[in-house]
Amino acid sequence: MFRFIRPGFSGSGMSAAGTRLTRRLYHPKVIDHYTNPRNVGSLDKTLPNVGTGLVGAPACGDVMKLQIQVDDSGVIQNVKFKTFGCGSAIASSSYMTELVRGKTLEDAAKIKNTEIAKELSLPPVKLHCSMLAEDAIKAAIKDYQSKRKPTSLT
Amino acid sequence: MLRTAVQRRSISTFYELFPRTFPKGTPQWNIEQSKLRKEYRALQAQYHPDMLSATFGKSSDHDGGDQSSLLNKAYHTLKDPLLRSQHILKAVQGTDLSQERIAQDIMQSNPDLLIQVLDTHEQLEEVQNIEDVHVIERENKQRITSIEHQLEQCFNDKDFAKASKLTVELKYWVNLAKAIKEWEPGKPVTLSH
Repeated sequence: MFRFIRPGFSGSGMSAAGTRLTRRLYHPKVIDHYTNPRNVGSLDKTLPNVGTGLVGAPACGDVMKLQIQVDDSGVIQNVKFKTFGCGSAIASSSYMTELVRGKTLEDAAKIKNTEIAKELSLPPVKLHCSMLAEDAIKAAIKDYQSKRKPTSLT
Repeated sequence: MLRTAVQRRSISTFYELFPRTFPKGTPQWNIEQSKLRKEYRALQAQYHPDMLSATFGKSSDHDGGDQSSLLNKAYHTLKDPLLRSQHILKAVQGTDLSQERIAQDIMQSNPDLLIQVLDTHEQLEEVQNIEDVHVIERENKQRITSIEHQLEQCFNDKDFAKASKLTVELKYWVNLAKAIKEWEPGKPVTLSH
């Protein structure tokens, strides 16, 4: 089952989705993130202090966007995501946003997919969903840094 | 035993299961759907577990069920352009697009794809009425048809690299088509595998 989360959505229809997920034997933590995703939405990608990571899992046809807003001291102040994909991909990106908020870029870059997979008890067949979340934060950090480079050189 | 005649032979592609439709048994893009459907139904009638148990008694149930589900999988794979393309690429080129790493490598050559996919899903997320959904649906159908035509050309030319790239893209638009189908006003966009 796939879902594309809308920003701010948290109401009717979710219980039905939850039931279907339960039948597919997702871990309760996956269902929690899936039914109440944290930090869904978008940041203005044109802002100089916003980094955007856009990654995909083409075998599944999943796409994940993760954006970070960074303050002058290099700390992630705000983070948003949008994932079009399976429950595990949504849960992985949702949990990732919780992990990176308040972290320095350096610490955020160190987060490994295994940490996400362990927290969400992802089965081996869904490990690539956690890797996608790791790729997404790395891509967002890289995008942010590439934006900063010209100013840091002057 | 009669039942061993066909299903004990090991097969390397689904095409071999339908010898009347594909006498050469080798993968091909173009499919005569009605011919395939007819042969599939004839074979299912032969191997369906109910038929086998009626003919051979209970002991044949298991094998008949296996063959029946194999035929079912083969038919639904060959019938569907996306699944058929994936099957041909795996059988002929050893390119298994169900492996994320392999599919990732292929997607590298198409950097704008994810942006386009995300944009289209966001469009679908924002529309308020069914007419606008139909616009997105029409555009998506055109994209899918265009890719299928290009795939036909690729497989005729044996351009498997381009076929792989197109198949990766097709997967995304087929997923979008499923999301469109489930669209309802006020309901989050959903898809099922």
